[in-house]
Amino acid sequence: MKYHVLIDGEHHAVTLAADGSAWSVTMLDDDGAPSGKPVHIDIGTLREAHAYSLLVNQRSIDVAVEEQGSSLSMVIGGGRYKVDVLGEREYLAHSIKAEQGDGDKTVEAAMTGIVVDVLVAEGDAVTKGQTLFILEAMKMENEVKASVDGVVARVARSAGETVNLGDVVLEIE
Amino acid sequence: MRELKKVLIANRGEIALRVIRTCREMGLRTVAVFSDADRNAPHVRAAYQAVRLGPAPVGESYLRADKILEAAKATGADAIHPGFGFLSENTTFVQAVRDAGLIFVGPSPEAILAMGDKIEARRRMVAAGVPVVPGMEDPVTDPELLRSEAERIGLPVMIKASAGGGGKGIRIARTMDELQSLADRASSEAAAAFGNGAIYLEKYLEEPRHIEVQIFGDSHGNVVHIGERECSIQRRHQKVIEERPSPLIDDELREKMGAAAVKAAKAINYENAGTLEFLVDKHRDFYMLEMNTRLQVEHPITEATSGIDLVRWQLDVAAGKPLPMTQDEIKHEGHAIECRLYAEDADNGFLPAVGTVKRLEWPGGNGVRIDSGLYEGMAVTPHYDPMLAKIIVHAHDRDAAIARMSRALSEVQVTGVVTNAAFMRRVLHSEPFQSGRYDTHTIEGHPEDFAPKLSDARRRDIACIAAAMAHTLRSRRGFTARDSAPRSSRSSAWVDAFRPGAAS
Repeated sequence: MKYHVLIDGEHHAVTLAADGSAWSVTMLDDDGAPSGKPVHIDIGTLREAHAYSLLVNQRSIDVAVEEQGSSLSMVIGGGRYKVDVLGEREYLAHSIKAEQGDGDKTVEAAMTGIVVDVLVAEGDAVTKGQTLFILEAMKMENEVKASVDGVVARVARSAGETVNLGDVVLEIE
Repeated sequence: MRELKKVLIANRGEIALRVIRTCREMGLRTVAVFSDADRNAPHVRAAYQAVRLGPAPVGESYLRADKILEAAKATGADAIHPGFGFLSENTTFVQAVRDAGLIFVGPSPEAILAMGDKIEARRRMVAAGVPVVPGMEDPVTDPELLRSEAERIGLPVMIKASAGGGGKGIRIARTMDELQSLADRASSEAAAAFGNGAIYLEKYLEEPRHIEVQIFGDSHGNVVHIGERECSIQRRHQKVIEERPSPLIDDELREKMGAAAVKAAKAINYENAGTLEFLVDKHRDFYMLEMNTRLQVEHPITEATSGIDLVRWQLDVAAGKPLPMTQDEIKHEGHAIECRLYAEDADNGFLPAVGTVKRLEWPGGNGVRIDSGLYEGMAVTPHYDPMLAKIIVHAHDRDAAIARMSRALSEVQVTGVVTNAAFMRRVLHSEPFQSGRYDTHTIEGHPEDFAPKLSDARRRDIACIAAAMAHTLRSRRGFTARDSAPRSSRSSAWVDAFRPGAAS
């Protein structure tokens, strides 16, 4: 099995082969040739779908894992790692999308809360760092700022509305 | 002197559990109160009795003084411990507890009132000769006055809520242009959080360290201090990591600050546990910020080095007993650190996180204490404070304590909700923390120093692990998911027998 692993925007291709009840994982270089020695990974299940005890070349590592679509969030030894693990076809689709760019920039609620105030209107020009709206959560008012320069294309939510994590509040073109 | 037999704890989470534990060690019966969201919480299960208050929102549960008093009456409790937050510094509640003939485990309503309003507190402390930060003595509403006062004190200035606490309502104005809009924001946030939008201005100190002093008073006029706590590792004006002793403080400064704290407490006839918060600037001058008239979140580090159970002292003093130790008898040993585990994404502006705890494992071993209200299956929601638990370590010196905390944090496993455990570990290993030369701006002033860093070798390892994990998760799900199973395997003799058209 071949997988493409994306961490912090860096791409690694690996192949996976069964080795008894464990796995032998080999990194591939840019030409698809094996690079470095295979890594032997034995996976013990502590709790299915949540927690595993790994022996990585005999090194004992606990991994707490959460799956979200193609991405994995792993807690390993006090560090948290967010990675995307894609198959060949998914990786191809991902590469094409990345080349095209994503055009509109949506600004989403980064947490569940209440929109206290929207400080911009459709058609307004905004600059990076400018406060777009104020979101109240956990009894704190949080100023959500523009991460890019642009023009507000759409304001989807208004003051007083409750928003959930990931809801689009406005879009910048 | 009154005898305590049964204590109601008007709080939730780790602090409710922490108070219950001491009560049980003292042979006292306990009553927990809970909202619908907390029916299965550890504090409910640890208590002798538990009473439902209402739905999850705090306004319908933990802030319902009437229901809490009803619960105390129904269960025959003779004292109420408020924990911190919620009603702990609400004088109306404290008075109502007393009027009901119950003991409030904490200071008098008069003392809370004297220190609760920051402006009034400042006036009192100036009169008592305790150094305070240059600033205003009256709340400000007039825009003209706001500007002239900001000019008098000198930029940058802090805009603070009169009734504030916990970092809410605080803004820093660096230019005159932004002063008014920030003041408006602070005022509206304060009005929403405390029902009082009054604000005032204060000088913003350079390289300030937030160092506080634990004090304790009894009803016989005795007041002692139990050393300082260094609380300068903050983000969003809220503490994240605390340690004691402070790397900045020597015995001389410790004595001076301790004496000032005792003087402040005596000036208002303070009883029970309290904390004087000071700012110490780069010139090692100290200024009193405010007094917290309750037990502090970070009290365990004082307990670790002094061997004192502060909750036991609280209960004894509330019952009218004198303090069990004199100032000379209080000694500290070793070094203690506390890390506050928050449900938040440190890599994304420290935004609060929500979720359901899927798996939970705590560190253990020598010198590690966990005060936690978490449990597997718990929903972390915006209803309550995002602080989930506290990890406290104690060791013979600072280096050993740092190593122990780093080890403990690496053993924390929480999934289902993002926590700041990895971030705190990076702080522990950072140059400012290791050297002890940090201040309240260190975290937010140099975020890049605390950002996750991944070496090439480490990233390759993670890539291999991720591939093996993803493959395992996906293939196991493939075999067990019903929808992906072949159709025939889903039928059974029973289904076949009743299928339309089947022979009957």
